[in-house]
Amino acid sequence: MARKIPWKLVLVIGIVFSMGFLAAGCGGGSTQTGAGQISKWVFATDHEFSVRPDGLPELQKAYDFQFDDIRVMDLGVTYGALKDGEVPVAMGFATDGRIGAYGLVNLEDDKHFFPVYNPAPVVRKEVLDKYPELEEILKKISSRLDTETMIDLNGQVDVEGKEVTDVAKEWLTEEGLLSETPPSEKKGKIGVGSKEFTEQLLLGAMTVQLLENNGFEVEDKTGLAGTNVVRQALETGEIDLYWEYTGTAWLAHLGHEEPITDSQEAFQKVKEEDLAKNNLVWLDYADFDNTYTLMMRKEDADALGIKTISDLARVIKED
Amino acid sequence: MRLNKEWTKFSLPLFLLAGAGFLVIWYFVKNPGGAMAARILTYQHIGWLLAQHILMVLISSFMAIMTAVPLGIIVSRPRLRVAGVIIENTVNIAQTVPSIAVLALFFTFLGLGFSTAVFALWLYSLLPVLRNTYAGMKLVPAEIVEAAKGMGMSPRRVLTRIELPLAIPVIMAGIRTAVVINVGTATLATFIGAGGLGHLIVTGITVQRHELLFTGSVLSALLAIFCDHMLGGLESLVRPG
Repeated sequence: MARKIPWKLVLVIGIVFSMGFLAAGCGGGSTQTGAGQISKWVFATDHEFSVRPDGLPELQKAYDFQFDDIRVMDLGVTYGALKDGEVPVAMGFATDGRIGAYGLVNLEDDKHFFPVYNPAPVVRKEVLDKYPELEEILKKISSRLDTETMIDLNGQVDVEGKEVTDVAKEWLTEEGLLSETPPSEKKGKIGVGSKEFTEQLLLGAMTVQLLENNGFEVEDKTGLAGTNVVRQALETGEIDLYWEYTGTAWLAHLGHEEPITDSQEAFQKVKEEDLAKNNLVWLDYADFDNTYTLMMRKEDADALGIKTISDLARVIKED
Repeated sequence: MRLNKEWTKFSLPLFLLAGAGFLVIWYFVKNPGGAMAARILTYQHIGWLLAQHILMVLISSFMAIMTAVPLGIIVSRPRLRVAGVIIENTVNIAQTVPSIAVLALFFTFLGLGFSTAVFALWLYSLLPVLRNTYAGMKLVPAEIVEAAKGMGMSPRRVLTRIELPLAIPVIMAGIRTAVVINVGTATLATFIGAGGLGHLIVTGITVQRHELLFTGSVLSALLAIFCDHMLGGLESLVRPG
């Protein structure tokens, strides 16, 4: 017959085990008790940033500090983890719409550690020679965008769920860039491209609407999948312009190894090399930088007087 | 003597699997293939991730067994036949939800980290165990149960001495399935900051370091085989005869 199974023992072990688990589950959780009171400096990061040479390890060296603990998770999760108080500091991308919507702030990279990724319109030279007014028109967009504006616009799409074209139109109207009476003379055809993420779609939609308002016939090819596809489309003449980031062009398209951490320098170098090699013209860049960022909750940052990563390093070392 | 032979048959594969695991860890700690991977591929770090992984699987599987087996027994009672059919179908449908969706769903309610991962794994492994317990109990021939009753056994004795022992192989098969699936699914826990071997895999993918990817996936595969074999041994211990 069957061997006797020690049911009671199994039951007791089970109960003890479950209790242990419950206790362990309750033990975890928030690192924050009130604004500015942080018991443990835990940092939320995605997998890539946690090991990249231009990521966390070198950042801690450059600013000479150490987080108490590091929690690695999916990129999109870091914003929520910070908002919910599970961690006091997290990494993200500087113009993500959730930064504004969740009440977070970017800490300034005062030692210029992160490579810069300023967006600028890139136009094929023969198109710009034909329509030199493109430079003035696109400057109206790039000169009016900064990090706060971009966070807000991205947030309207990603967090509030508005349509990209509506957000672009509203912004252009608010800035007074759309004239009520479109010019009577019709100009030629311009192909506008973009990558597939929100910020790129917004920049693409703004460009399309502004060019149409200025009398161009625009071929809307925004939302192409991936940097390389868009870039290829520009080089082969399938599109005539799109917004590219200086850092991306420098590292990916022009194949350099060393990132540049100064906006002006990056722009100048990319502009010169792309014109010489590929006959592409970089117009003026926008004053926001879609690069890595460290973020904190606004109330914590205000209470502790942290504005820059150096401030953060100082506060962590004092603790 | 017989016991000795059985013991060797049981433990030898376990030692071989553990040995293979150590070999993989040793090799990749010595040859991390670059400074970036070397930062993660240390004995200490891999050991910690492995421990997290094992703990996640152990707790969730154990909780699943503790909940799903009694539940399966209850719904298999003839009086609860309707409930049984409902639960079986619900469970079948629930199993079709992708595991990453389960993880994402509970992440929004329960927040980050280890407990959420364990909870999602528990829920996910509940299903095969429950289904197999129910099926195993239903497979016990009615004549045997009748005969046992006829011999004057109390319902409790019929359950513990006749039905459960006969259903054990099917129940154990469900448990083994659940644990093996759990070991694989637990690699997703790293997305919500719960660590585990998935950390190596996902980092390996995002920064394109195959050493990381390989270490993570091989260790997780070895762990799955290890657990399956362990449970196989446990099964022969509780199996009738």
